[in-house]
Amino acid sequence: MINKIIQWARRKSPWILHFNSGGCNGCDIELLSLLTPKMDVERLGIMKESSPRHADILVCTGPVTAQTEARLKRIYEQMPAPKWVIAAGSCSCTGGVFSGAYNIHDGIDNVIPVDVYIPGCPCRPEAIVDGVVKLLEKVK
Amino acid sequence: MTVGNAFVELQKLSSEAEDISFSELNEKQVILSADQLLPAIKILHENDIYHLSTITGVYDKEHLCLLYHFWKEEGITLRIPIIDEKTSVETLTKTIPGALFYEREAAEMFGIQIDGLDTSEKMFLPDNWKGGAPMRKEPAVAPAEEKEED
Amino acid sequence: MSRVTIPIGPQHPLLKEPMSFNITLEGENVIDSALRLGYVHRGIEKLAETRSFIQNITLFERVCGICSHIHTTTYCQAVEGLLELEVPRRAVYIRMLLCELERIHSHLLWMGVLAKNIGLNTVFMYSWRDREIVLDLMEEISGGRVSHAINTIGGVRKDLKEGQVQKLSEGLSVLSERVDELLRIVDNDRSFKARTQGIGFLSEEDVRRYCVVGPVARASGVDVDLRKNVPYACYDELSFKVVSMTEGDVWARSMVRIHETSEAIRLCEQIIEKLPEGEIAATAKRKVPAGEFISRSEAPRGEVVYFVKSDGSQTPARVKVRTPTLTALITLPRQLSGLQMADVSAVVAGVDLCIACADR
Repeated sequence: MINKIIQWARRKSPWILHFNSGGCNGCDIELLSLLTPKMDVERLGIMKESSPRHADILVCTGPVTAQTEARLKRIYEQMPAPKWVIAAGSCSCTGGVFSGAYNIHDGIDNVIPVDVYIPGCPCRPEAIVDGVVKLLEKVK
Repeated sequence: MTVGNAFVELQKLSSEAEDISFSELNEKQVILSADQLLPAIKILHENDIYHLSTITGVYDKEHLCLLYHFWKEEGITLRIPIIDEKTSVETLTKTIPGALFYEREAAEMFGIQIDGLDTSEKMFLPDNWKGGAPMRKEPAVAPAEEKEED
Repeated sequence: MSRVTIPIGPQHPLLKEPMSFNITLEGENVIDSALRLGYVHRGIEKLAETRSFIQNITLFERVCGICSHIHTTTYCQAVEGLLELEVPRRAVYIRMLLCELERIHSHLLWMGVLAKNIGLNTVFMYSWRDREIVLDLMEEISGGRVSHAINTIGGVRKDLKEGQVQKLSEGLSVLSERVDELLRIVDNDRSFKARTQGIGFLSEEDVRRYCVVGPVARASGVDVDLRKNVPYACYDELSFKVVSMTEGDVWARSMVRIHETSEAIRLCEQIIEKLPEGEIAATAKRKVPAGEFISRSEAPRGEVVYFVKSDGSQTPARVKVRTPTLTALITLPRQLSGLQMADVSAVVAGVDLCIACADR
């Protein structure tokens, strides 16, 4: 019974942690516009958190640069299970337009396991919401 | 025009520099040798030219060059060829503290020796970087290693 | 009193982008700070040497998501300079229109970030709501909210249609009222002023020595705006004021940016009114002749410099990008020294950092 309530709460109110692992900022500002009055995802239960310990979902933007790789791993490890990862934007899926640069490990799935990939350069806010919804259906 | 005046004075300084072929630029430019950098900065300051836009490292026809781009109403560039591994320039940070990040970038990306600059920590490249100076065409030999061989 | 070092690390609610910032405190006062960049360094300048001139337009658009259009404009100006190509006036006007719309959206974004950092969440919501109007207008013109892909070498790829001009005028008049409201807040609201006045001070001498550019320089009395001093594009055909103040603190920077936003709206209205007829792109030669060209422009954060060198081949021999945030970052330790910990968030936001631009 308790498990059912917890499962329901997880689906109804996923808390997001946003980490920019070296991106141009385009996907980040589209992610931030989700909080603003036009899209307003807080009414859907999605809240943007500051600490890895509070978050259910890690939304990662940007390709992984050599300097952020260790931080990304550490943040992922600091998040309590169950946890999921969304790769938002073409750069975090495959390296995007920066693929082949000397300082980039293409895509975050080289570093941590990813559950949902959201393409786009930058990915639109509607696409991010769609990605979160698809993830929540997968969680069921 | 202050830039015009500075240009004339800098050219007098430049005529003592080595005769090297260089690319044309759309702004005024002066070729100088590495030890003429600080006197050139003094001339620019006397003509009220303070704003350093950036420092570019670029491979020109014969040598790697350092370009110092200044601006006041119009641009003026100092081009300093880096003849060999032993050529070094003085840091500008004593009179232009704003040159710090540009100099560190040139030192890190091209392996250019800049005297008086603290390059013990990396600025753009990651802490565990082992690839030498990434913007160089041939693999760089760091000046410190060269001295050890001597 | 013992000293404490607080890492404001790569992942922090204060920072939108990863940058490492170690602040040393004695009690409540900041006595030292150290920056570590490089988390967003993607090696773009090296990548540009392996791609063709046209492919690099897509690359340079993604140096920064906020000021993407000005980067491609400056790059295209440099390559057009090497080609000695004259861009049709209609194309230049469309480029300027997007540049000014980008300035408006960037300043509204900054306003929201500053307000959020000092605790005025409502202002964050209001300014980002108004920003959506600008993003819709940019999407109307170019097809993209954040990255536009409208520049090409020789001009622009899409033309402005009659219906779009009508929508632009309506959107701009709504924006004008909203920005006046924001100006009223910055100029009159006591809590905003209490949090932003007197902190992060830079004198005119500091601006000179550190070669600072943009609104940070203009807020300290250095009256330089490349749109007036080095009129690129067709800015010499339009009339606008360059706003500068002398207080040099975070409040002065806020005032400069809000006034600039109003001026940008007026510039957009002039551009629409004076839009000339004609082609939207000149045909560029396939090969870029050997040479070097420097192009400068005024991004929302200050002077952007592109140095492009061609050796006659398909790819550029060297592209150097200097973005304005680098100049502001050098001054951060100076701005923060002696301040209280509670003021750090306001100063960091007041400088309007764009680390993706700085690191490239």
